[in-house]
Amino acid sequence: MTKHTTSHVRRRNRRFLAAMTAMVALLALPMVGCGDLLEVVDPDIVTPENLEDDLGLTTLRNGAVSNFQQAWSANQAGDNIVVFSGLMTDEWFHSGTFPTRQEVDRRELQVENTTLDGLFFRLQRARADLERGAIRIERAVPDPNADARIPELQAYAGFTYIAFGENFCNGVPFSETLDSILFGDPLTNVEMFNRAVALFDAALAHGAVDSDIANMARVGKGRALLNLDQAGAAATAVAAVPDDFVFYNWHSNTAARARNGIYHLNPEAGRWSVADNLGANGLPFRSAMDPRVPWADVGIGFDSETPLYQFMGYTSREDSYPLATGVEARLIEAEADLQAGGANLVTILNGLRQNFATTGPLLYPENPLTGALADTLDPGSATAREDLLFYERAFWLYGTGHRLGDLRRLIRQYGRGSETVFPTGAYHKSGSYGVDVNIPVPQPEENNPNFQQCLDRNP
Amino acid sequence: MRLRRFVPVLGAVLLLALTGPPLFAQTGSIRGTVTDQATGQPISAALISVVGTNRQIRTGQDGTYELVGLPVGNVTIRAAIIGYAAQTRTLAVVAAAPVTANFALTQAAISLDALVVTATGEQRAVEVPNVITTVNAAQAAEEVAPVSLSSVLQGRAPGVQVINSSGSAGSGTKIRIRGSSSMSLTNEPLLVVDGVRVDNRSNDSFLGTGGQTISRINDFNPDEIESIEVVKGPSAAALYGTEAANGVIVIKTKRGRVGAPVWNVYGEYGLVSDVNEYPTNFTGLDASGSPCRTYNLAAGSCTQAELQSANPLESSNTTPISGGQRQQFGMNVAGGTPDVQYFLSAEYEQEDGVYTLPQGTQDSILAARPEGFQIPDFVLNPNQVQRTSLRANLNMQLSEKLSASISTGYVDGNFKLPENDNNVLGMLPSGLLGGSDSTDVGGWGFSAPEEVFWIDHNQEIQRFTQSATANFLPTDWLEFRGLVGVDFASMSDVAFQAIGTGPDFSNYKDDGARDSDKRSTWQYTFDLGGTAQFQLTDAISSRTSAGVQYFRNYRNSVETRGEKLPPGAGSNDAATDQFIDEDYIETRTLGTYIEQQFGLNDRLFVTAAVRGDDNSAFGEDFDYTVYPKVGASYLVIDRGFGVVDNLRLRAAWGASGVQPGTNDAVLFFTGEVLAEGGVDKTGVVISNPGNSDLKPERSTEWEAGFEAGLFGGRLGVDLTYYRRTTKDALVDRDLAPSLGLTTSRFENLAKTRNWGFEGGINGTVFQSPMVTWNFSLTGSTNSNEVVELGEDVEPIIFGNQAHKEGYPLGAFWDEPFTWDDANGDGYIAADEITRGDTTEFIGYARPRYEVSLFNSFDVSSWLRISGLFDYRGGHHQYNNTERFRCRFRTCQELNDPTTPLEGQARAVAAAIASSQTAAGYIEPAWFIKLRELSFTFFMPQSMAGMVGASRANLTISGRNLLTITDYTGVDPEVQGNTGNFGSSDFLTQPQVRYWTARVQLTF
Repeated sequence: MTKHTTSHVRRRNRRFLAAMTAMVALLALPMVGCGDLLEVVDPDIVTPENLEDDLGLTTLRNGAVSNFQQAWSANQAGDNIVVFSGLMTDEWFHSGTFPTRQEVDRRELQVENTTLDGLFFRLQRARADLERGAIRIERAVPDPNADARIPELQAYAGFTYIAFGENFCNGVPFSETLDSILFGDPLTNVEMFNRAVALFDAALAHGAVDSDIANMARVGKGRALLNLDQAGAAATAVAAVPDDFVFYNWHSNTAARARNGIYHLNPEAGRWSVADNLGANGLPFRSAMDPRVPWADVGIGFDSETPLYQFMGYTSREDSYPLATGVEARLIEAEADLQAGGANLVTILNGLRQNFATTGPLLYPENPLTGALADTLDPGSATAREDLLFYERAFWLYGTGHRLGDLRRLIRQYGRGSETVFPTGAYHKSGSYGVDVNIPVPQPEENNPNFQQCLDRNP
Repeated sequence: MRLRRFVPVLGAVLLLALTGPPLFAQTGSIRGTVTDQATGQPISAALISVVGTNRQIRTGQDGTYELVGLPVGNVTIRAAIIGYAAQTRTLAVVAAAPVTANFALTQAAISLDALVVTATGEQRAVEVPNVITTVNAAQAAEEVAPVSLSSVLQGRAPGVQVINSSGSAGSGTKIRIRGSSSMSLTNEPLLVVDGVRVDNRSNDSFLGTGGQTISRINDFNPDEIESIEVVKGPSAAALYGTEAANGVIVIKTKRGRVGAPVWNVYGEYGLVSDVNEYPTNFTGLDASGSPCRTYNLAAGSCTQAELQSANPLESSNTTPISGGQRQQFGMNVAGGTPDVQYFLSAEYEQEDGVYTLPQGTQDSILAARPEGFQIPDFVLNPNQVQRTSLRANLNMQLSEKLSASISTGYVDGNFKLPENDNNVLGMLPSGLLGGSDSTDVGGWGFSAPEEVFWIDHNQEIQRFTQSATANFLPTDWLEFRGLVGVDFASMSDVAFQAIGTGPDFSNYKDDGARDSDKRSTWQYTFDLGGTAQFQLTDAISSRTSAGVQYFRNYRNSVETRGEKLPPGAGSNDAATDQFIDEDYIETRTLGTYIEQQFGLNDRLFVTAAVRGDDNSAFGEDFDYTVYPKVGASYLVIDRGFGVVDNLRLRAAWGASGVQPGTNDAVLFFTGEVLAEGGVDKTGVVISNPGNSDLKPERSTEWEAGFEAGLFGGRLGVDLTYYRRTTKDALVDRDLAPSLGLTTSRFENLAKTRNWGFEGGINGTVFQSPMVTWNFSLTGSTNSNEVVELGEDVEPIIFGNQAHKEGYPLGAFWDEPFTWDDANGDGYIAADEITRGDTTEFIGYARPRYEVSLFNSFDVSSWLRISGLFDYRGGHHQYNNTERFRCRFRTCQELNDPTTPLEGQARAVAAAIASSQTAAGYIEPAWFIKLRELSFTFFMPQSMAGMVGASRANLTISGRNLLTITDYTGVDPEVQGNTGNFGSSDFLTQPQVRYWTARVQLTF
């Protein structure tokens, strides 16, 4: 090696060290306050700090009630509890193609049913948002006793528990997330109804509850008590509800979630069709030509083969839905009378029938029910009176999410066999009806460590 | 940003500039010509580089070059270009006069000295420890007349899966490199065009057109592209950082060359046809005309008297499927001086798909309308593509040390797609799910074409992609690069059913309905880097690179819908019911990298690098991520003699990532309407529960392989094994619904693995003055597995597919079934099916094996015949079209008593049995397709000269000419799903056939 080469190498090494130093300096750039470069503001989203004042709380309240309506009777993008549970009964039959809905219609539901996933989630979200909303408002406002939003949200929440209790199996869990995540344990239907009653009682006891909410809560409480087989107490709960009272779920064309979901799935999308004498035990909802269930033949359903019959109570996406009514209050009183011997049963039912000209138009204000109802006669026997009451309930409350609960009560409280009340035999799209009498908790709930599956599938 | 943040950068620049050796007082130059040894023809764009420095230049159109400003003394220069063996020569540069060095390069199947693009700039392939596949897009554009950029990639890069969505003109593709790693995030590779990261959405449309997705990669015009390089995985893509775990597709557009202007003018005309055989709709009928199907026969409830059938898609009276056509005209010019080179191009492309109204229908419409009425073009041609592409690229040598280049591309596109796929308004669904009575509305199930085609679906895009690059060489061993670029696109999607037209569905015909969505996308790239390259000793070379990159992706969209539009209205402003939505999405990434490479005797190269990234989408509790890589490349044999000419071994390991979505880490609400008392009020609902620990998915990969040149450059062989593991894979984990939050949220839980081989053999089978036969056989395998889903995470199930531990990602699962014609009546009844209680693994949903065989035959110098066979296999496809036809009771298997029992059984199991399973319709989907066949005629110069051209050629090419498969559906390749993994054949337009003729003249 020459001296020159050694010097050359040394110079190269100096270059190398310098290059390395320079490169490391380049790397230091993002560590010098790069936060601003990465700051992104997204105007699409609302963060929790925007919802802490009174206006924010009202917005939360609105969101919770909107979720309730979506889960109950609205929603163009997914099934609500009214159409879903009605499809399991003799009210509707399936004129669509989705296998997941066919499972419902056939009463053979899998826990992996994705239509069920969405329904269960929306109902749970509504329940949780209503309960969270009430507590958030209570914590935030200076005088909770003067805030009418609290009993309102409690009463709505009560209805969500009714929906779970009437339609789902024993074993639905209810989790909490307000301060921390508390996974719920599975509750029986009875426990669900008790929660509903507690919420209605809380609403009714609240100093700021307005009369409409109070009547809505009274009907809800009566409905829950009926499910608890406490018809007498139920009648007491609804006694103050006027005959012409109707509390609506409102619908709007503004967004898919707010549109009348019954109208959408029935005439608009052609997936649900009004049934008639379905599966041997079904009631004659079409052939009876009863003005309480107006219907029209509107062609063929979405599946291109099933006749499509429209329930004419709804003729647009914006039509409102009767959540709680004076009619239902009287029907509860009638059932209490039935259980007390039935001395006034026919009188009460005929009272309702005679009042049809007044109450009928109120149930579906955009499409007032017309016509007249003749008096009914006492059928004479206890069983026949039961049949009469449940027939009357089925027609007065057609398509309002009561029927599955009623069929279960017929089994549970009146000793009927499931094969005598539910559609049975050959299924219209081939095969035969299954044996489900309620809706299972869907598979995603297995992400709750306290939940395995339904406690049972009893009625 | 404050000035102090630039201080480190400025310091680095100054430090590097000042520590260099003093400039040489005396300089000289080398000039010469590079030619093909076999033909003597000049080779343009060959790279002449000064070994051990950053100095380099490309030959001009005439193959000449001149390197100036070289230090006096011995200088080693290298001439290299892909397809040829490089040559190196040491020359004594003197100050007095230029030194001449001509190179005559020999063709070689393996070109280890060719340059490939890396994150730190261009490097010789031999120095890079990974396999980087280069696709000669320019040649493909000339010789096979590709219909899209993604079709150029198809079959030309092992390990790159181009998954066609449908055969409709303008519809796009998904691209997967070495399989899919991410369960929940995108698996599309990063797309880089002239250094700018560009929008690469594989499904960029709001139109209700199902699987007929529009892919943004196809906005780029193949005729403007010089080459495409595929960087396949984290071991190579580590320095591309977050977003690069799925690989990188690097596109270089054409550049100007030193020399007189060279004009290329080309025109193309093609015919498009649909040769697929669509299935017939059947109904078995008894004597009274009531349905009597096979399962009714099994039950003994009827006697079949007639098998009624109709096929509106095949009947000449009803089918809207006829011939389409395609045309393309373009020109470009390239040339320049040593100081400025330019490339300018313009092209217009137009394609009509295979749909149109049957003539009889057109006549009926015209007869029913007032005289003079014309059927609108969108009704007659509901599937169209029109695209105008412009490009201007400029290279400038601003001084001896400073050069700059500008790339500007603009595309103006218009797509029309018909309603299709999983859509009640779709034309194919209406035919495939139609009736068996051709006298009943032609057998259409939902709506006839004359109704469906009145819905106008249109996407317009104006896209502008520009980059400006500066290269500064303060010394011969140091180079700085700076790049600023933007990819901007403005899009408008419109779906319009005017009042009184179109299908009578959901009041749209009565009222009219119009969706109009406007979107704008900006993707900014800022890239600053430097490379120091020199000899540490006579044997050891060093290459040090470092850089900073900043990316900002921003997209906003306004979606509007109008219902109840008056006659004549064409805007949502006129609608009675108006709906609007607006979305913003933005992500920002700041990354730095440093790479050090040492070379030993120009044979062994060891590289180590690290990149750090921060990103706006990372959770609050996660700040910064680092991606390292190491690799080595060893040239075992260089310029060998005998069988093996050269042999290189290589191995690399690296890490990369994919970032979560913009707001995935944040708890937030979104506004929702509350209808109350006839008034709409504003509410909020939780949209995302947030996850403050969210971080990017991290993929690590190692690969090892070799390349060898054999038999004097006539044969090349390469093989690579790769194994990629993705940790912290984001799982869109189901939340317990009882929490009442959202259905799921992203958590870094899963671990997935992909592994396989890639390789190929290419070369010359036969060579004579009359005929040369070249071939390329490439193949790849991909196996993958969900290693872990995360503690307490349930399998993620989507339809018949699932992510389950120990099984491939998105594999097919369903309940198995058995059948037994117990009573021997020749029919399968529902009770003769036994279905399993639990789902079982059926198979991969994406091909595991791919083989492409490309052959070309050169006949003298006037004809080249080439063909590409494409095989894919090892996977299944869900034939949901046929299964759904059975649900509609019109499939042959449920109606035709002659159907084999196996066929009846799968239909009954899928559509009739009480407990149903679609397992019988999840079928092996291997196929071989003759993807391309082309004949290129090179006119003699004398003939070309008759029109004043120096070169002329005519290419006749066909695409999708033959399919061999066992799959029972129409086409095993269709994809009715737009999602990440969803794979099904569901009422989607299959691939169509093209025959095109292209004339190209060079002046």
